[in-house]
Amino acid sequence: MESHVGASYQVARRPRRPARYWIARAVLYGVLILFALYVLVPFMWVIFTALKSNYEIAQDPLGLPPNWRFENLAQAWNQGKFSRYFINSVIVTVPIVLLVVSLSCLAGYGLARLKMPGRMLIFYFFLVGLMVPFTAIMIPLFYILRDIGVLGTYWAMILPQTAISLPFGIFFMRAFFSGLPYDLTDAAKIDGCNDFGVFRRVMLPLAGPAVAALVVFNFMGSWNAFLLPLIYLQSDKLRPVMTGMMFFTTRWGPDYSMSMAGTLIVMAPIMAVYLVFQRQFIQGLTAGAVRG
Amino acid sequence: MNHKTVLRLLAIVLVFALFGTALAQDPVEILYWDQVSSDDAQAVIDTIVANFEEAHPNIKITREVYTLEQLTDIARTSIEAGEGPDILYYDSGPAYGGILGNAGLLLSLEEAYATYNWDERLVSVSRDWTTYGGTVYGVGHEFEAQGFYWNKRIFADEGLEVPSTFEEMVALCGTFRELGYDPPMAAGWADWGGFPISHNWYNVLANSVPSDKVAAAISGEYPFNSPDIVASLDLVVELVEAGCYDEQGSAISFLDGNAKFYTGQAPMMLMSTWAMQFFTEEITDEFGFMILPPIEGGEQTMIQLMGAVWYIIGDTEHPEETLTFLNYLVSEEAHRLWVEGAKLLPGVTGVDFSDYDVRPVYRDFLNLVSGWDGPVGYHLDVLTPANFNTTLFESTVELAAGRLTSQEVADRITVEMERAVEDGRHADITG
Amino acid sequence: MTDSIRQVFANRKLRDYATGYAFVIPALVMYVIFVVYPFFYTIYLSLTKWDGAKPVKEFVGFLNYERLFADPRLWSALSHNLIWIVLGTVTPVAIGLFLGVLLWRGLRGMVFFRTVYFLPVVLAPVAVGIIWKWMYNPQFGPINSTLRAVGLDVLAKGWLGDPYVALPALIFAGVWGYFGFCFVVIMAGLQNIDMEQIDAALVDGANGPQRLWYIIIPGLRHVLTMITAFTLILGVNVFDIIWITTRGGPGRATHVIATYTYNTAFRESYVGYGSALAIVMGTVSLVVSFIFISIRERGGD
Repeated sequence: MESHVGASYQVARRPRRPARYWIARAVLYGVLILFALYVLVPFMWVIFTALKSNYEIAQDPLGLPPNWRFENLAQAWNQGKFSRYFINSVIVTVPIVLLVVSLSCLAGYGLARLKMPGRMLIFYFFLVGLMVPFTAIMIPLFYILRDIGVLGTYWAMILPQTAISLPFGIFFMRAFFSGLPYDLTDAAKIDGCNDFGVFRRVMLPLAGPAVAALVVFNFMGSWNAFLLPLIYLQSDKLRPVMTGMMFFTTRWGPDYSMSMAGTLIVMAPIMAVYLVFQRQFIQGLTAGAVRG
Repeated sequence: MNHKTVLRLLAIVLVFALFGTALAQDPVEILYWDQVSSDDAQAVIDTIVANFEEAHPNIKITREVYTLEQLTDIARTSIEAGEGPDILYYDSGPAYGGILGNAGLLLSLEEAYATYNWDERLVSVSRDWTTYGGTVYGVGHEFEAQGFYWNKRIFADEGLEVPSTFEEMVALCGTFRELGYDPPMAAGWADWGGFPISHNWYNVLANSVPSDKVAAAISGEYPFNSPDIVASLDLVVELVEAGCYDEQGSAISFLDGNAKFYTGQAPMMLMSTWAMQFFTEEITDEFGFMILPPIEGGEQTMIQLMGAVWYIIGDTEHPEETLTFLNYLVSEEAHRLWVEGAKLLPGVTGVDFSDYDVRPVYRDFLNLVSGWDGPVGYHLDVLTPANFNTTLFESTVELAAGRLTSQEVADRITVEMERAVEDGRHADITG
Repeated sequence: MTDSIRQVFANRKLRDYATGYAFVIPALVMYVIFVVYPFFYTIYLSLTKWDGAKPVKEFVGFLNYERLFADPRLWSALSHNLIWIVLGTVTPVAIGLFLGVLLWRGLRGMVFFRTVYFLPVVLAPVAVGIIWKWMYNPQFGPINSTLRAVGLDVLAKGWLGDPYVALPALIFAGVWGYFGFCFVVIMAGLQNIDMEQIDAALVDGANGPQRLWYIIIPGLRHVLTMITAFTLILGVNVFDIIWITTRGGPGRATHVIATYTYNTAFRESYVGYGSALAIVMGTVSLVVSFIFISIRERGGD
């Protein structure tokens, strides 16, 4: 009987799956959905809390907001001075990313493709920097930045954040340039290009995806940096979003709706950008682990 | 037009331009880093600043509000970076203002004390507790006392008496628990670490160990792990074990914990008079305030302290204007606002409070302070060094959680005090 | 002067070298000034007693290091780092591997799940901390509220206020923000596994766990070591999420080496001793990285 049924279905275009298959599917999806909920539920509660009044939170901390108070966001935006903090974050992040990417491309290319005595030594010298945590240098850096007179300016974050990001950038770009075929450069050289010309005209255009990954990686690194601006960018006029958010949310400690509204304001743009440029984000943030 | 005419015209334009800029000169901007806890206090300082700006149109006050923890994060480094404020409202003692004063980051107020006659107008502790390394740097503002609050309505409803001894107070914790009230004593050290429980300990310490011994301990001349001090820590454990604290108290924020008292969920609270600023108009229950009931074998002692203090930053570009502002903050004009609006007691002498419009609980406090002739105890953390405080706050939380014994806590803070003495970071208050 | 420069450029080899250095020097200068020099400066500061402000830094030799060994706070902080490293590495990698294997062969909705799992990874650790501080709030926080709503009041607790629970609770928050990263990386690694091997194993009758152990995990060796390295470094350096939530409390229950160092150097103004702590941290980081690199070299392909 069973064999008969089986045989008759083998003729059909879509074989009917056994019940076991569907149960396995259901369990599989159940597990996947469970983990998705683990991720999403906290976000949901952040949004709910942000859009309630504190009284409504105390009445019903879990449920949907009885009135969706979007004005909370406006209030948090103004009280938290987030417009200033966002501008500050952009002002420090853009130069950091530009500097890290350009310096890493140059040095990565140089260390990968150009002849110079001590090349490997220089490379290892940079590599050691990958292992030095920021905490190990944060104390004297404060005094160095003070003595060169940049504390109190955006440079107090731009310079050290660039420097601590270089080892990885160089490591990453060197690995990339090393992997490119040599005949490309040879051909260009025969055509009369000098080293810089080869770099700019031939190699750099090929480096698009690697550069994009490095941009995302460093953008996230400096946008999300916390300890560094906490120590070096203390004036409220210079404060970037992350420390600004800390000062706002802990200041309004028991004011849960304001503090969650502030958190939502900070989270929303980065999540929106992520949802749009998902592939680039994932590639950029995992670049080190996948390729290195 | 010849050459000369052009030159003359230019000269005239230049003169006008100069006058113009002089007349339209931007007001001097003073950056004020403030700590404000309650909405009422916020409203008061807004009014005071507005009144001041009206009287001094050439000065503009920019206020940024922080918490004590936040200021400790940024005060020293920002001032060293030249990014600090002009005037700072920060706590007193070697752990707070002392670090700044000893580092040479604050403006000496010796001259200002003479100019503005502050020695006469301010309570003497204003100078005493803001003098670091022989120089006075601060002007005391929030004069506080530590004590015991109770909700009069609940005590009346339940037919209970206000405790007359520490033991009775401890027993009340159990009674109220049985009656279904929330844990009676202030809880909440989620955002303030070991502050609340340590402050309760100072109160117990002052009432069970003579002040000269405590003073010697603060000065590093009497070990904190002496048996009598350990015994005072045991009394804190007794409070914890009697159910005086919320089991989850340590995770509730300070203000949420205190709010349990304001809203009548908890019937009593051990806290400084600082908490009175939260007794808003909407709260209809009446509260009483008294100092800690006496502990057997000790003399009833009142802990007085100077909460936050104003400091002027050493490298301020506008010392004169900032001093003018500071003097306004302690003026009689501001005084009534502080008392009636913010329920704070400014450390100002010779003020007649009789016609002030304040709640009975605040009146209790005023009467207590003015009528007190018993011993005065020490509020440790505004007199002890930073490393000592850190360890104290950490250890008392662990004491409450049952992870450390009184002896272990005492040993830990003794080590820190020895180290501070070795490094010269302690305050010698025995003279 | 100009002659010698001209000579240098006349020499092709030297000119090539000069070009090479020209590519490297800008980065090298930044790196030396803001990373290498400060590192040695930290070593120097760690040999002094200094409050960060006095004009004189009193040289005290190894006094700070002697104090380190007798400092229980350091050891408790390091043990918390160790717990963070172990739990914070094993859990997200295990979850990532589990989900990776589930989704490996492709599945409807795969893109959706990947998008969702990776979502918290783009958040700053500070934001993760603030979100979870609210989740754990004892009075109104969603976790306790849910527990109370379903009648499990006994389980409701002051998560971040309980010294026994605070550290695991924070690690749980950290895992929330991080497992998606492990998942995506492992997925990428799985694409490189030879399907024929799996098919062959199936023919040989290998069961699921056997396939996982003998084929999948060895095939992911490279990827797994990379993630472990990342997570290790993160575990040594963890600061943001702790500082925004518990500041090392309750008591010392969540202090790690970075929070302790920061607190000592910047809040208490023990700059010399803080520098010694920073050197401990640097050393731990170097040792961990070194062990990791040597493991990778040994098992490397």
